[in-house]
Amino acid sequence: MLSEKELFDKIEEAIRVVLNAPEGEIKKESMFKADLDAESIDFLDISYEIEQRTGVALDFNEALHYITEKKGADITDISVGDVFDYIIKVLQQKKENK
Amino acid sequence: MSKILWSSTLVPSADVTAKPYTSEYYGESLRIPMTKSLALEESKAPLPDRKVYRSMSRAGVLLSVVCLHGQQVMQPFLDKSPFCVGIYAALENGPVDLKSTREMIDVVRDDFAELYKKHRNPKMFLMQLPNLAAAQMGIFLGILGPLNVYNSSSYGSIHALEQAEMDLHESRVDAALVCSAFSFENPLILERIRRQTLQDRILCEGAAALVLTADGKHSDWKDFDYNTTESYYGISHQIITQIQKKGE
Repeated sequence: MLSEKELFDKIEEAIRVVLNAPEGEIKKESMFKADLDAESIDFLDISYEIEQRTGVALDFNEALHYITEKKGADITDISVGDVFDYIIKVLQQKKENK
Repeated sequence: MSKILWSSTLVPSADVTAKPYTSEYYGESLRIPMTKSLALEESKAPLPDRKVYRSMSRAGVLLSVVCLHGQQVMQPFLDKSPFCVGIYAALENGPVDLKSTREMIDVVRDDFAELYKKHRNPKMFLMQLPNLAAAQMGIFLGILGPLNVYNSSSYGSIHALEQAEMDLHESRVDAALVCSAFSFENPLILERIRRQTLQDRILCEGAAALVLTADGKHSDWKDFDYNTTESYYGISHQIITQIQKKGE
């Protein structure tokens, strides 16, 4: 079982590889569109890279649903921390279902 | 009918030692004794969009890099009209995702969809499209003129040169960006080259671009012996060789 730091490092690496960002640029508070210049197809690519690294199949539609429930339906951007929180939730659900 | 206004090549330098090539996936069944590759890492290529390398083949990246060298030469034409410069690119289909293919070999039908979703990078198919690489390069340069892409492995460069020549003669464009790039991405293309074309030459990665304008003289791009060169550059061979010939 990965620690939260290890999990974040893997997610950060996945995003960094896709967006070709320098080390240290991606933080929990980084916004995908505003700060990292991500486009819709990048989300697919990021979910692929996250799955390769963590084994968690990240469905961005479900993630967005989860995040809008938390932050409101009028959001236009999500942060790396939002995705991280969602993956934590998925892993907790997996654990509970075992 | 045309003159070369500007040209640039991206080829391995003379001090690079030729090395044998074997495919990670085909092993010793595909072995080319002498090859030279370019020391350029796709993710570090000097392109205007840092993440574009994820959806471009290596050849596509090389194509953009070499064409961007000519930005200043093309700018006066583009200032006049972005539609007056045509792109004539010779580029093969990008790589098949052999890594994920290997993961999916011999799986039962019911598991295939799940494995496909798990292993197939969603941007990988974009790399396979030569038109996309040429279009992306056009976007970087702001070119909105006709986009012609030729993927004939043996004659793509000649087709590009001849069509550019024809369009200049017919005044369809004011300037023609003729370009090509070749890299070692597709093992099957390399095997065909090894069997049919290479002979004792060194197979090299390479990219080249030239800007042609009309000048009333006829250039016969086929009037040259492309077979006696020391190196071979795949689909880019004729364009690179022509530029090297002019530089002599």
